[in-house]
Parts: sequence; C-alpha cells; structure tokens
Amino acid sequence: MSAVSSSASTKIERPSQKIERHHDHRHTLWHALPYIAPHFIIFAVFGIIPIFFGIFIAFTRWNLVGSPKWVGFDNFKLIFQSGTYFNSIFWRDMLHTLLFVVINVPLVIIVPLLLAVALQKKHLHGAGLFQAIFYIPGLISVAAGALVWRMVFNSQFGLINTMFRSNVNWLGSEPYAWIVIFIVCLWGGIGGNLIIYRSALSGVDQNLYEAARMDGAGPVRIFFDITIPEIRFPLFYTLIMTTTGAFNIWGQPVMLTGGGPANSTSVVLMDIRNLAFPSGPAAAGMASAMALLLGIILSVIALIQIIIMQKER
Amino acid sequence: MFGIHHTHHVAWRLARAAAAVLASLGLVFGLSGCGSAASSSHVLYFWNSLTGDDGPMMQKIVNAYNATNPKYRVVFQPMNGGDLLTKIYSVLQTGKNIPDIVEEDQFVTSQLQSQGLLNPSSVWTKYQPDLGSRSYLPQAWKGTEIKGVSYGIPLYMFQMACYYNKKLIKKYHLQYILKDGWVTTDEIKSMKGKLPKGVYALASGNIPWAIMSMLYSGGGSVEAGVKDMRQDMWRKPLAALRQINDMGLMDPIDADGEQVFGSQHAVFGMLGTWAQGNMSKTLGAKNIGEANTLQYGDKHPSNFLFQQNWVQLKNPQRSAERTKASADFIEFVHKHWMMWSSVGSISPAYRDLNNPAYKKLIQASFTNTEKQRKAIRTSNYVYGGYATAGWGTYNDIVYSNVSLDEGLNELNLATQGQIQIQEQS
Repeated sequence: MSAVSSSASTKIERPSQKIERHHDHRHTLWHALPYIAPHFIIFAVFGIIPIFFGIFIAFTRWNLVGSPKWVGFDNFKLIFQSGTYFNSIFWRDMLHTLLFVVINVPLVIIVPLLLAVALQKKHLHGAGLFQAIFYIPGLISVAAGALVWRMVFNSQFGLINTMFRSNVNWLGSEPYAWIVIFIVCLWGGIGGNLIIYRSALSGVDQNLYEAARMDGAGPVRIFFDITIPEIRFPLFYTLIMTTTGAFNIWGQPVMLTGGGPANSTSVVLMDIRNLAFPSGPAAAGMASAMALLLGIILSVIALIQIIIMQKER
Repeated sequence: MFGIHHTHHVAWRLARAAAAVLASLGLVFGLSGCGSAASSSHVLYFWNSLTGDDGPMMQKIVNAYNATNPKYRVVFQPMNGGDLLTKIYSVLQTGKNIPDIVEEDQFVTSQLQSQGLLNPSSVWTKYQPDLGSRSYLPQAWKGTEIKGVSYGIPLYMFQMACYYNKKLIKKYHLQYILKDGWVTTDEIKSMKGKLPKGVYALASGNIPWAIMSMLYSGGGSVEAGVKDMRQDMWRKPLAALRQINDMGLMDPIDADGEQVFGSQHAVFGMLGTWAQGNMSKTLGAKNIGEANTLQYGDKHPSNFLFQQNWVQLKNPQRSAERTKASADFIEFVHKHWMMWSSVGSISPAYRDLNNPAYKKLIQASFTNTEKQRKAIRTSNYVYGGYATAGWGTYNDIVYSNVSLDEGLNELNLATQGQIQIQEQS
C-alpha cells in the first residue's frame, strides 16, 4: 500500500515540489561553484583557450609574429598532397607513432600487470620495496633518464656492449634503435600502472579466489576469469591513459636517437615541434594543422575505447 | 522571517562564490603578470643563450660591470637557445617585460629584423661610437647587416674547428698534412692504412656546421646553396665525408667526438671552438692545435664562422637613458672580452685580435695573419638556419644510412617546404 502511494506521489508532482527541486539544483550549483572555480578558470586559461587558439592557427600561416594570415585548408592540403615535404614527414612519422603505440601500450600494461599479480602473492616479503624500486624511474625526468641509457647503450663505451662483448650499434641501426626506445619507455612507465593494478587487486574479494581454487581452477584460469574481469575498469583507465601518452611520445626518441637512423624513429610530435620552433622562421600554422590531425586521431581512438568500456559496464 | 533568513543565506553564498571566483581570477592573472617591470626599474635585463662554459664567464663580466656601481645594474638571464626565441616572441606579443639586451646568432638576427622586431645598432653606437664597424672584422660586421644597415653588434664567433693531436701527428708521421695549416678531406683520406685499429683519422662533431666551411671551400655559398640543396656544392663535400666514413677513418655515429679525441683515439677532431678548454685540460694545451676548419678542396681556403650578436628588440616604452646604459654595458664587455677568452670563442673585435695575449690563444690561429682573416666567411641569409637544421639527415648521409641522393632530396624538400610556407606567410 505504502509502496503504491509513494509511486503515485513521484508520478504526480506538486508545483511547489517542482520549484523546490529547481531551487535545489540552483543551490547545488552555487554551492559547487566556489570549489570548481579555481580549477575551471585555470583549465579554461591554460587548456580550453589554447586548444581553440591552436585550432584557429591550424587554418592560418603564422610565424609567431604579428597577426596570423587565414589560408583556410591550405595547410591540410599540403599535408595530404603527395610529393610535398609536409606530406612525406607527417604520414611517415604518423606510421612510426602508430608502431610505437601498438608495441608500447601492450608492454606498459601487461608487464606491470604481471608484476602486480606477482607482488600480490601472500607471504611475499619486500613487495612494498619492489613497488618503490619499480616506481622510482617514473620520477626521473625523461631527459636525465635517456642520457644515462644513452651511455648504457653506447656502441663504443657502453655497459651492454662491454659486458656482452658485442659491437651492436644500438642507437644508430634498426631494429635496435626502436628496441632501446621501448626498453626506456617500459622502464619509465612500469611504476604508475603497477600502483594502480596493485590497488585494484587488493580490492578483489579473496573468496572468489578461494571458490575458484576449490572448483579446481588453475592460476591461468583464475587470472583470466577472475583477476582480469574484477579489475577491468582500472585496466580500461590505464589503457586509455597509456594510449594517449604513447601518441604523445617525443622525449625518448629525441634524446636517444634524434629520430634516426634515416628518420626511422621520427615521430609526429618531433615534426610539430620542429615546425613550430625551427632553426629559422616558424611555421606555426602547419605545426598546428599537424597537431590538430593528431588530436583528431587520438580522440577517435579514445572514444572507441570509452564506448567499449561503457558497453562492458 | 524565513524569507529574510533565506535571502541572507543566499546572499552569503553568492558573496562566497563571488569571492572564490575573484580569488581564482586573481591567482591566474596574478601569476601571468609575474615578472619584472623591465621598463621602469633601474635594472637592465640581458637575455642570452650562454648556457655552457661561456655562461659563468659572462656572469663574471656582468658582476665586474655591476661592481662599477652603474645607475642601471645588469641582470644576466641565460636560457636554452630555442626557449630564448620563444620567450622573445612571447614578450613582444604582450609588450611587457621586453629585455633591454639580447644575444642571438646571425640567422636569428636576420629573422627578427625581417619581422620588423629589431632596432638598428646605431641606437647604441650613437652613445658608444667604439662599438661601430671600424672596431670589428668586416666579415663579422657583415653578419649584423641587412641591406646595408646594421642591426647588431658582434659579440663572438664560433665553429667546428679541426683540432689535431700533436703527439699522434708525430707518432704516425702525418706532419705533411699540416704543412699549409689547412686540412682537406683528401688529406684525411690519405691516412688510410697509416693508423692502428681503434685510432680514427677524424672524430666528427656537428656535421651540418662543419659542412658550411666545406661548402665555401668548394666554391659555394649559403645564399646560392639554400636555393637547391641537391647541387654539387653540397653533394661533393658530403660525398667526401661519406667516403671517409666508408674507409673506416671516422668515429662511429653514436660516439662522442670530444670523448674520442680526448682519449687519443683520433688524430683530428672536428670539435667546437669552445671545446678547446676541455681538450686543453684533457690532453694539455701544448699537445693540441687548431688547423682551421675541415676543407673540401684547397682552391678556396674558407673558414665559415657562426657568430652571436648583441641586438636590441623594439620597445616603445624604453627610455633613451636605458638604451645608453645598455650601450655602456656592451662597451664594457667589448673592453673586457679577454676575461672570457678561455672558453675558446673567436673574438670579432680588433681590440682583442691585435692584443699580444689573445694572439697566443689556440683560437687565435683563425685570425693571427691577414691571410687567415681574409679566409673568414659569414652569412646571415634569413633562411640559412634551415640549411643547418637537418643534422640527422646530414649524419644519415655521411654514415651511409641513406643514399646520397635520398639524403640530399630530403634536405632539399625540408628547406624548400619551409621557405614556401614563409614566402606565403
């Protein structure tokens, strides 16, 4: 009886209730405003405005001085027109960027995940210490870390070649140049994801594992049927963040290989940076056009990932 | 009663929200306004890219100047070269915090002038006539001039010099190479079979910079060369360097040239003029010498030198008094340039070049004779920077990662593409 009356009352709303609800919404907004305002204003000034300015610049020719000159889609035409310099570097380096994403993202997700599972083992001593050790490289700047790795992989005096008595030109020949970049990115990227996975794993109900074991499930079955589904949301989160970060790869190839040998490790962000701040007058419009195209590709991929995540929910 | 209370409550909330928004705006705009009132204080801001060994030495000169108690004190603000240009554009866009004195290279001097951002150097020379053209090497002064008007004052010159290890020259009987004081690519090739394993004929440095001298010694020039980088004036010197590498006479692509030369694993080292301090400490000043820059041929001996200029950015707020104070400081550095001669830079000023103390320095070999001085080449062609930008491609060509044609096409495509964008801007 009471349930019926309650249901009826929500269906037929009194005018005074409507006004109260409207007031509540307004109150909530006013209440929230002081809290979100600092972040929102900083986000607007340093995030939204530059994004829109960057989009505008993509349709102009601008050497960073004076007023940008509107040229419509001319920058994009040059990027898509075969035989131009901008066409050759953008698509070549987009391919390199995609290659990096395709290999680096699984590495930076799977390796920390396996390590996190290993560190969750019961009665394991020093798990916290190992977590800290894995996390430290993430705190070191890309430039400083890459300088050290350059020395480690130096073909003449490097630790690796000296130790294994090899003469591999790690940074100046393929596929070694890419291998070094992947190693350095993995070294720097393990820690962040490892902490997220360990935190997620600690929240998984241990009874599920107990029940699975009693049913005779092995470690592999448990990993795929319990661990992975239970931490799927943190996994999706790290997948999106790692993918976004991978598309923005710049520091490691710049510091380790300079884009070589024969531009085989050049990536799109290097082109964008070199065009915006070259050894001569800047081509900021073209740089913005490339950045916009990269942003669109990145947004589409992130959107697909989010849609899949929503379906999983 | 409830109505009044409610109204007060809403008003209080509104006031709090407004205060928070204002505080946020204050934070954002307050931060963005951080900086110094460059045009009003008695401080001159000196922006420069002296981030290497030359930085602390220049700081010493600045300190010495400030110790004379000038009305305007100088603040030395070094930053990375790329950041310096970006910051220049930022402050010129906002019109605030424009520095009084800037140090930039000759290509950027042209670039800034072509964009209408520089004052002619006469704003300084009218207060300090000693900073005029008569005090400097004509080639250095040419590096400040655009269409006959000077927009800078030369500070120092630099390049990839061809160092040699005197002990190794003697040990491997290579004195014949140094007879005329110039080293050519053919002479480097002649060392094939004369060196033991692990000792290279040439430790490479910044190839695009070194190639500039080879461009001129082969009869070319930056202005003519940038129009088409597939021309023989680029092709021949690059082919010669590539051959040197193919013959196993050059250190590997990932080797540190200074390390190779400093550890006595190379007879010649194509290293920066600023490296002489380090090399002197490592090998002993008496054991190294500078044999100009590496040459492609011996018909047109040429040392292409890069240079850094003092320039003044336009700023309507700047008073004549500040400009005069800037000129006073630049003249002070001009007079005390020898204080930083140990970093290896080549002086563009006759005051130093004719100074017996300077003449004894390693880098003085570039200027000690009239013949040497005549061999100096400079250029401030506005697109010259593009030609030296693709250092990765230069390395790929020399180290045979790409064919000569592929590499030259890549260099040409990059240069012409960027020029095309500028011409349409």
